[in-house]
Amino acid sequence: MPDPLVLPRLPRIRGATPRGTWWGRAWLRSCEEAAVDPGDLRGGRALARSGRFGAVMAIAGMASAVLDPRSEHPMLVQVKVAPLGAEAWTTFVRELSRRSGHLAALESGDLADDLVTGADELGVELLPGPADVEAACECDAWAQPCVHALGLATLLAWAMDADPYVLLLLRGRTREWLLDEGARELDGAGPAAAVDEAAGRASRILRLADEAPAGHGLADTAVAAYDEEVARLLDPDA
Amino acid sequence: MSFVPLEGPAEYVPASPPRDAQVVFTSRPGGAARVIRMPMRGAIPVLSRAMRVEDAHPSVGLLSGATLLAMRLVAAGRVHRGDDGLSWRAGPLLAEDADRVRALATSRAYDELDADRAEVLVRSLLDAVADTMTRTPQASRRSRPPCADQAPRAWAADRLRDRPTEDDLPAEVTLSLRIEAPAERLEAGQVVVVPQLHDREDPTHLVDAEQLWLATGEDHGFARRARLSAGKALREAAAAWLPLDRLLQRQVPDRLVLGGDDLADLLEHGLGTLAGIGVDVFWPRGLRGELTGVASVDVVGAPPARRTQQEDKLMTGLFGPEALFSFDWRLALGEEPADRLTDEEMAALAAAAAPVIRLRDSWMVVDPALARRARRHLRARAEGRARVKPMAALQSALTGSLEVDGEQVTVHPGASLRRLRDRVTDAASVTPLTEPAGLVGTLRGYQRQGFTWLAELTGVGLGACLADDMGLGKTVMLIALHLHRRQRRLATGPTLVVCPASLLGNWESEIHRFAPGVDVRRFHGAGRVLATGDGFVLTTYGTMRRDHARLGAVPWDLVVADEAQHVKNARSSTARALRSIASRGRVALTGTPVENDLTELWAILDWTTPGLLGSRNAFRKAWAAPIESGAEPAKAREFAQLVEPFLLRRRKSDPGIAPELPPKTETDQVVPLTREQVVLYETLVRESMERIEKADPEARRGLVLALLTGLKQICNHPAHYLRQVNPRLRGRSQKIDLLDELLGTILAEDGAVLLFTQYVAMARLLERHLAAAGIPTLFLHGGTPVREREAMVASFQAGPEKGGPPVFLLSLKAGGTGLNLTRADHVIHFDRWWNPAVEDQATDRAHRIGQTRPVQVHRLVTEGSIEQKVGELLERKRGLAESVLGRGEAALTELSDEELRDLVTLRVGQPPDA
Repeated sequence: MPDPLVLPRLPRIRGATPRGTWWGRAWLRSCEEAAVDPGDLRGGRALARSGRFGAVMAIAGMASAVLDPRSEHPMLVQVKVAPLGAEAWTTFVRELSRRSGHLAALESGDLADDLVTGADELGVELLPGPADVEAACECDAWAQPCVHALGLATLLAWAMDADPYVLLLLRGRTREWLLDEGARELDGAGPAAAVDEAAGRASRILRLADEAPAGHGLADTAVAAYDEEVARLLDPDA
Repeated sequence: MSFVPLEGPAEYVPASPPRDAQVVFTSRPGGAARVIRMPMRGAIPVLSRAMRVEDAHPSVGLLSGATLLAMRLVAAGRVHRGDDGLSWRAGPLLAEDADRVRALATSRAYDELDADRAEVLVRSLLDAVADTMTRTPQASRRSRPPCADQAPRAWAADRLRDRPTEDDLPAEVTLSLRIEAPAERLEAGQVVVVPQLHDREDPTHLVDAEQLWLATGEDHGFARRARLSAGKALREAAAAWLPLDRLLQRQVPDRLVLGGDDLADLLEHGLGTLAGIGVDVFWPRGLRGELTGVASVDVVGAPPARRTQQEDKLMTGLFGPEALFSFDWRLALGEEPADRLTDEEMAALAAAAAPVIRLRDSWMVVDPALARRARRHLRARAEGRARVKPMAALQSALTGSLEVDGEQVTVHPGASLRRLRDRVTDAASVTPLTEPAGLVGTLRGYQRQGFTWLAELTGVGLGACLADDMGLGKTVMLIALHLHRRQRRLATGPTLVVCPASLLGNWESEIHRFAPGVDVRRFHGAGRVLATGDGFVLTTYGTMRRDHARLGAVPWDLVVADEAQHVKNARSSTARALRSIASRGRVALTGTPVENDLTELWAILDWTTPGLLGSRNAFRKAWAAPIESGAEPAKAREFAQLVEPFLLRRRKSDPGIAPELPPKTETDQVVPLTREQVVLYETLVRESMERIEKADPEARRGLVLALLTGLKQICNHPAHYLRQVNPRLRGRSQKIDLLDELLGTILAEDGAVLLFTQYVAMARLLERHLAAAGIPTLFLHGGTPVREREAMVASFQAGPEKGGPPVFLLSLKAGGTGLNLTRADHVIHFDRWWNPAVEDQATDRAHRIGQTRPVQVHRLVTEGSIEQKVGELLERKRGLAESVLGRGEAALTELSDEELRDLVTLRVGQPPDA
């Protein structure tokens, strides 16, 4: 996922397009909500299918494309997305590193539902809301996003269907940055999640210890039960 | 763990990595009464509560305080990775933490340990707790899979010298799974799955996922990007076997503990689907023991291995309806009997909740399918259902396999069953029994052997089919058996003989001759009364069919079916009636067990020994179809092994059987067709073939049969085919002319002739013809009443001195069996039967014991006609009989369309008579 990322021009599409991924549809929904006329999304979709857009260029936080690049009146269309802050990205990377499956999913073109939910619970909204989307176009429409910007948004939705890293790029970070940070998360002071997880178990052991039985005779069932419970907390896999 | 002693000194033994540290508890200061050495995992629970134990030793108090302190650090997240990258340490310690450590060391120092040394100990224990808590101790004790001989670290170092930069290290990996099974896991019914990644270019270069994630390329020789490839591979594996998804839920997909259910699922489904995507699973050597199922069948309550006199008695009637055979299925670790699991081991295996069990001092992972089968078998046994029907037990002993729950399993017969089997297979070759008391005359050697064979089989409750050639004395062998069973007090009732009506007299006179004084009654004819004594009751198939209910009420000892081919169609009412009559033993007598069809042999053996050959359809599928198609030559031999013990067939031609029998000469007398016959023949062929070619398969069969019959009638005589009344016979068929010639010669030599035709209509034409020529004849056919038949036979055998006619005309179907007509030294077959065995039976009326002169057999055959061509088919059918009873290799060949046309088209040779 280099920056800038160039998505080659799509030829005209006939026939049905797939339903898309949940994150691609969520992206489009936000764009649609930002639009003034709900019917514009359909117009934008028709435009995206028409093959009239040139290649799309995406950088962190922004994507642009030229409509009818070879005509006498080419039009530059832009979609800007509010980038996540540095702190939010740190949180996101930590969440990403919490489960090895998250990165594996991204690498396989899948965006794990619980990664997005988990980050959301920590206050990081990976999916941009309507307010995070801003469009600019050389057309003389009085409101944005115009039908052209929605066309570009549709192309971006298709691109992120195929590769969720496109969504992350629009939110401000490249794949390389994520991989490096993810690795650093593992290599650094310690995988936070493992430490957190151990901390949770340690707290529970301390709580148990406060109430620990004082006896230590043979066949003291309370002692046996205590030891067993602590042992279970020591080895959560069992 | 309440037995851990806390009142004595406890010693902390540090280790590297810290989690491998141990704590040694002792029971009394200075004493050595009890010493318990525990790993950190076991010690932490004890130490976490020891502070509250009042009489605990100060050393215990110190370690306990340190443990709780460490736990607070872990709870606060103050742990960090050690220099090795694989273990964890407590800290960094804040100022207040350091104060606490110092305070603890000071307050808990005791006589043998000053505060400074106590502080060192506490700090070490903090690391041990942190490492135990944050990382499970499992990872440090891994064993290498068999494929990794070199130490990975050294290997990686070598590699790094050649390829110094991270980018050059392999980044594309493949996945395999290693199963680790330390005893404490197995104890809990668990195993651990450790993912390991292989360099795609060099699979011997591998690394555990944990290392790949946590260590560096210098350590393991893989690029950091290899994690991405590994993650994808794990995702694919998780898609193939879902529980692996839990690895992906972990920050580091280091290991996965499989409980009983997961392990069972892995064995049943996971291994297959993972192998499908190329993910190997390596098991510790010996863990998946080579457990295989072994089935055995034996007599219920089989006595110990030594054969005793007692047991011989017990074996009597073992295959009777009340006999019990146990079916046992158990797992075995190897081939030896000692490798078979005991009942206790089987029960433990069946009861195990997890597929992990401890067997003979080693742990073993057992496939759930095997465990289920063990459970099923134990349940069946507990409910008394682990039984095999006597015939199935016998079949399994003879063939070594048994169908259980729809699948064939290899079966070992138990010692008792094996002896029983040997007794059955040896029955035909054991030392012959002495002749029973009451038998008049001497049995010939082979007859004694045959009678012994019958006695052995019926003695263990099995039936038998005696298929000796005609004339070898099957009747007398059966009479000997009857007497023998009385002498041994085995018989519990009379013997019923079912035979064709024509043989009632023969049986009666033979019994009177060989066993005078034995009661013989006929149950036949109008106004018949069923009176039974301890002797023989003779009846016919027809009477038996009508009166099977009355006959079935008698407690027969033996039921004998003479000329048992009468029940070859198991669905006929005669066969069904015969099956409904119960007895302790069943004997079939026949000269030709295989007439046209192995299914008929099945019908006979399924009566004598029900169940041996399986159901009709099963038999058809398993044996008859493959043998008759000729596609599997070995099948006929295998089948012979199965039926051989129950079928005894001796030929007259066998060495030592009937040496006194004079030779038999067979001659085909070929005559041309007359012009009239040719015209009729060709017209019939032309018209019939047209219709046959257009007919559907059902109708075709009927048309073919009609055509063949018509052609044979034309070959006999035009008048036969045209059904003419009072026709002119001479000059229309050369068979008549040849017959006249033959009779002229034979009668001139004072010979006597059996003249067979299968058609009653033809026989009547011949009878009229011979009467016109002044030759006296007897004529026996299907409609001849029984008494009259016996009179005819007696008259013919009496000879010319007593006015016996020299020509006996028989319609083959009625006269083909059982009759003793040894006065004849010539046999003429006026037409060909479709079956060589039946033809031989007919011939054997004359060529049997009692015959003193050479017998000449003349078969009249019309040239170029179907009769001649049928000869070839007959030879092939003879091959079928040989292949089953004599283990030949030929098989029945069905007629194809081309063959039919070839068969019926008249071969034009010399022009017909002018």
